[in-house]
Amino acid sequence: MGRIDMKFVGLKLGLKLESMAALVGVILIAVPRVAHACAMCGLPPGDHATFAFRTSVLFMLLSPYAIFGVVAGIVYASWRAAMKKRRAAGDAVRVQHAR
Amino acid sequence: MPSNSSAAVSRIRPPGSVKRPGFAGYPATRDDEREQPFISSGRLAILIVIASELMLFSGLIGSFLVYRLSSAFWPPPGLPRLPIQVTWVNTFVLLSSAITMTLAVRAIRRNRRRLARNWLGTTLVLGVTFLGVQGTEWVRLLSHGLRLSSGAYGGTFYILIGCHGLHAAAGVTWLACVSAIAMRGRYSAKNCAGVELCAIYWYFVCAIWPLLFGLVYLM
Repeated sequence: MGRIDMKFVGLKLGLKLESMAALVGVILIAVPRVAHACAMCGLPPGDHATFAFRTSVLFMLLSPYAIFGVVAGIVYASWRAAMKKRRAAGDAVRVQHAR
Repeated sequence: MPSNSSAAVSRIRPPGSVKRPGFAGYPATRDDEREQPFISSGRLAILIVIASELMLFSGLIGSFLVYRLSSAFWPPPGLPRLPIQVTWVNTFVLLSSAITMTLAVRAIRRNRRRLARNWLGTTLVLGVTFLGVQGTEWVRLLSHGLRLSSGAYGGTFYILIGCHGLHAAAGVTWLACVSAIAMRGRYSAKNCAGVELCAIYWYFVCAIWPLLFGLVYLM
């Protein structure tokens, strides 16, 4: 009592695999359509939506670079201005010491 | 046994009597200037906030472009056209407020407090005028049947322009606080960071509007 009949388990597993393969086969045969991977693939050439999607994608692709480029530019300009101020202050001290 | 030096100092001197250069009325030396960061924390914070807000707007504009460019008729038949002439005047009002804000910042940097107060008040009035006209426009459009549920046309209009309106309302609230503080004479040439940060945010509100106006109203 309590022992598992391995032959019975193997038989049962084999049946399951067979039924799953049959199911996948039925699905593949029943759905022969081509699935489009993107929103623009199924559209005819010259469609308004193609142009709309392309423009929007380009805009959203470029805007992060533009935004963070401007922020980086402002930070760099502030850094340069601070360095210039410090250099000028250092020059003034050197001139005072020379006198 | 090592002793805590700051605790030892505080036992000898009361906290207010410790002399620190560039602090509590003592003139700043060149060494203090060297220790200051090249960009203040407040400015960096407002730049990060504006950058994230711009990302939000770019997402909204991207979705608007998809709807606008893919449709053959804009506005769709049966829906009201947007009032362009009133909005031109409103754009002028908003851009004028950016100029008055610049004058306010310039005045406070030159320690002309009264002038700065006047320019801040003018900016506030112009901002409230812009919001008031926008609100009136919205009420009129709603009465003509343009709602958030009126397809892509109504949805994109209310979301894009509404998002800007919320930012303008936040800017006006901030401006009102800054004006109230300026009325009490708290700002000066050495202490004008509050006005400058508010001005940066207000410039953002003013700068994004022509883009939205061109896209939503004129395109």
